[in-house]
Amino acid sequence: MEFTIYHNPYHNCRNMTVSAMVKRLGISLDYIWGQAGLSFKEEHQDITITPYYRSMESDFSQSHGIVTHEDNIADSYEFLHHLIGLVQANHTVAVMVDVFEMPYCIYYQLHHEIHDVEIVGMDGKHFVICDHYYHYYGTIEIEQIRKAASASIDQLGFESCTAYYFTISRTSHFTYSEMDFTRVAAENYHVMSGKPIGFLKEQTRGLHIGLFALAPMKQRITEFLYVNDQTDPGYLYNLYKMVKEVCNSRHHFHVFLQAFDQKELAFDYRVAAQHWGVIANLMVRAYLSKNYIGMAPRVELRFRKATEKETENTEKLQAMLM
Amino acid sequence: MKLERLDGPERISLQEGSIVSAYICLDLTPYVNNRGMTAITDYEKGTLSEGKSSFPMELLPTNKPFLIHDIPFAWSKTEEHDNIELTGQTLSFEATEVKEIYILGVSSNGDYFDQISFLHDGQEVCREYLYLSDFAATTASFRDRQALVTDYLHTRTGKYELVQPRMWLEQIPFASPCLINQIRLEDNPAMHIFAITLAGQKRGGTDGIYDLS
Repeated sequence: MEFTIYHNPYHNCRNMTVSAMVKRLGISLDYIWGQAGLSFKEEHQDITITPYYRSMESDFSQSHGIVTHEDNIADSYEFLHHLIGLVQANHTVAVMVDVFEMPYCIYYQLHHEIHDVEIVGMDGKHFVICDHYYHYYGTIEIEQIRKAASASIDQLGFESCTAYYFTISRTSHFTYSEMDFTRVAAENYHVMSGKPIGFLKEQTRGLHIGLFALAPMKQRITEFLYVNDQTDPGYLYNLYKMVKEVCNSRHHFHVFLQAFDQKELAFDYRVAAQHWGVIANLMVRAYLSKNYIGMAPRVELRFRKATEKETENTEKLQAMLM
Repeated sequence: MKLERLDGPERISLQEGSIVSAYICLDLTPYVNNRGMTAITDYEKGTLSEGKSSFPMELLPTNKPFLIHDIPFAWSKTEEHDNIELTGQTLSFEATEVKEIYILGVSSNGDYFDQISFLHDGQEVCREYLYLSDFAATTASFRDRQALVTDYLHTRTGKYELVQPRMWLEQIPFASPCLINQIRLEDNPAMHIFAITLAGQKRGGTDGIYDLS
């Protein structure tokens, strides 16, 4: 069987892999990534920025009839045995690995980072894999996957090797209706208006929700750049990844709105995605060039545009729901 | 379409202030600030993305001008740079009555669009969106069209055959011809412009002009 790489720059490697896998199950991707809220949480030195308010697993199961199966096994040999069993049972399985151990990757033996790839079959002593993020479809030695999964524990501090796959519980004639549209749009609106929904209800300390998250978020990020503390560059890279996820969420909500024929509002969210994308790209430029201070006013300026657009979009969403 | 460079007195004789219908390939050399093309000997010097991506120079057109969808373009290269990473620059050129503008470029880390303003002596004449798809995309995400594709990408580790990078052609038509002598770009570092050609009537000299006939 031939497998196709699914590449979409508006996904991190996890969500890109998930998208490819659920697409194989016949799920339309237009409807499943609709969450576009915002929260900013600061506790001690830790910052969490996320556009999401429900876990993917609960959202998939409650709203899309997709069941997520996740297996965590600390012993890498036992994990490999389990993986082989799943592949032989005709599942395509995602596995979390360290890119440092993936020979086709541009970061092979250069850089440690957690990464997800999909195993789609076996060929003798090789797994056949799709690395959607790095555009690779081909074979890799089974032992290399064990090493790469094991490195997620040894090098990246994970407690166990992790694999996941999906099954569907819905009927083949499953369709989305106006009710699904209203539910997702209303939840996004409520979160952007500051109302805690889903897992946001459980973590109130230091939490700013929706439009109220924008000011502290901007302040913390630009302050960090102006202070020019480069002792932990990974900190800025993590901030970049979180802001990029806000960009991704706006892009996918635009896709969701288009699927329900809301073209005008869809374009507004696409513009918002662009603003967040620019902020994220400025942050990664700061990280790579080590020019934190030079990027700070540029980030500040684009934050102003993002804030205006988010405010305008939330008002438009409210008007549409009335 | 016949394409000839109008660089000899036998082809054209322009008086100062005369008007020529033409394609005008802008010289972007004063503005280039990023490296998006590398030879195989310095593949690691690209700066299109965080993975040090660049187009392999050996697979790109070398003639000047080269044609993309029948439109003439010219690269603007310095020793270090060959494209404009958008950082809010204003590009200046001789006043031209522009009917259409053609831009060769890419985005990285996603498909990006942003506003682009056309000015005459600092006054905004009109504003449009500039759309450029990701160089790693296999199809255009916007109204832009594939301009060229190479068999592999250069990255920090050399030839990367898993990605066939594409450069995109963005065509911005004006509702009616506009007299402009400046283009203002937004601050959007994921967007990269490699070449700009104006279709219109240039007032003044013949630099960069190519016959429309």
